[in-house]
Amino acid sequence: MALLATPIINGSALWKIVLASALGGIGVVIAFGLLVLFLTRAEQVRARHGGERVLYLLGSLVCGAFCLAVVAVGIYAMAKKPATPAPKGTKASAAVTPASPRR
Amino acid sequence: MSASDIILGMVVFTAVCFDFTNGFHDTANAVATSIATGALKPRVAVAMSGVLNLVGAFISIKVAATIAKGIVNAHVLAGTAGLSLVFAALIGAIAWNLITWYLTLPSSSSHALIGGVIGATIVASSVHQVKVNGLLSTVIFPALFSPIICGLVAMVGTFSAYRLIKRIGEKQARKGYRYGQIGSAALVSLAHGTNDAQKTMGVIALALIAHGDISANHFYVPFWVKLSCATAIALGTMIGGWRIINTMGNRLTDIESPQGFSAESASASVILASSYYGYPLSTTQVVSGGVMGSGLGKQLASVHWDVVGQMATAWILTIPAAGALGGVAWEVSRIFGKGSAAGSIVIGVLAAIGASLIFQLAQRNKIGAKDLDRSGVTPEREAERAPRGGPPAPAAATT
Repeated sequence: MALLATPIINGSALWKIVLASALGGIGVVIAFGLLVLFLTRAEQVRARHGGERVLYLLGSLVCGAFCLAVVAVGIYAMAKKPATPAPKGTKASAAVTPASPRR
Repeated sequence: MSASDIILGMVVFTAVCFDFTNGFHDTANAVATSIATGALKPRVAVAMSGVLNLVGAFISIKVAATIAKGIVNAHVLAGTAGLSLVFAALIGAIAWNLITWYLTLPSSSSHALIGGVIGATIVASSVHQVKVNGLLSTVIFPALFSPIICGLVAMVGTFSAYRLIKRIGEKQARKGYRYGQIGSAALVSLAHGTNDAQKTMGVIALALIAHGDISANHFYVPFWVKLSCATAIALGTMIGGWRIINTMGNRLTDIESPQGFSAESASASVILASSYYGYPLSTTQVVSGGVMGSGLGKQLASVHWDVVGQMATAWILTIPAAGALGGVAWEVSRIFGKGSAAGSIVIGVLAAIGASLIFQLAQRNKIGAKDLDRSGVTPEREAERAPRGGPPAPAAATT
């Protein structure tokens, strides 16, 4: 989308935001639900099937790892977020002149 | 002490006050759903959120000074007159934050600040000093897209969660999602601290540049600015904006733990993804979109559209209203001379009186932590009651 020939919305970035949000937002909810499901099933079969229980626990471990990985990526994104680019034509981050020059 | 020194002191103090109002106005973003489902006790939730806001404010030191970068021409903010303009803008933003808080409406503190700057700039200079492209790309379009994206993600997430619940079993699932809500609320709190505290840090840093305390060519944010902004937003969060928490958690839709988890996860994802790709967002609008989406994901009718309408109106009005208040503040201060300390002192005193009146009015229909405490509603009770007639009625439902 453009106004006066200057791009306003970066379509590529917007698409990436949608994908990342869907992966994080929906992925975590499903992974966390599966984590609870596998833990519940592991508890239910504890006394009967040892092998089945291990499989459920492994599944829950994978889901838990996915959730933690998403959180880690989120914190990384927070720490590494880009600073808003400076307006064109300004060298410094803000072209503000002092009220009275100080030494 | 010169007029410039006095105005700088007032700008710094008012910016910290704005950060405080930002904290208690936006507490709901992170903890409203966790409180509404009983996953956390209200006091525990706001204390946790406050600490994480404090931590979040220090996670990234890259200041998103949206105000000077692309919204208005930077030279408008130069010198003593620029300091007065920023002061008027902050007064406008704080006033709108308090008005919407009184009306129990979640609105964007960031948009209030931007509106204040735009309004004061138009009145002080001209409408041509506002960069339309910058306003559209960094404020308006993200404000339109972000709640929709978050709403859709939360809707699909909630739909998926309820499909899984049928396999897991009601009680275990709800108990599990309550634990998950604590983690997702923590992540949103961190993201809020990172995003919002830095906007105020940017305002103070710009004032220091205008005053000549920091070189524009070697821009940095002094540690005392970071510490005071982080502390102010954390304290504001810990005070707990119960009025808006009630709206976000109880009045917008009937929230259950899987919905709360979906809404918070979607919000955190959208906020962090957008921040990473350089689109500053209003956390309030994103979380509101997520809560609405979680309502739609379970049952279309469970969204209270009248409250959504009120909120949408507040969103649309935020920039023009904060702008009008900022413009009025600038005009009043100009009576005493452009860039005079007396003008800034007068509007500061008037703003303090106005804030005091709003707080007194709010005491008439006060909402406190006890009114919102639903920690007694166990996952078992939630599961038993939900299939028949939805979750228990909210403790405090104001109009």
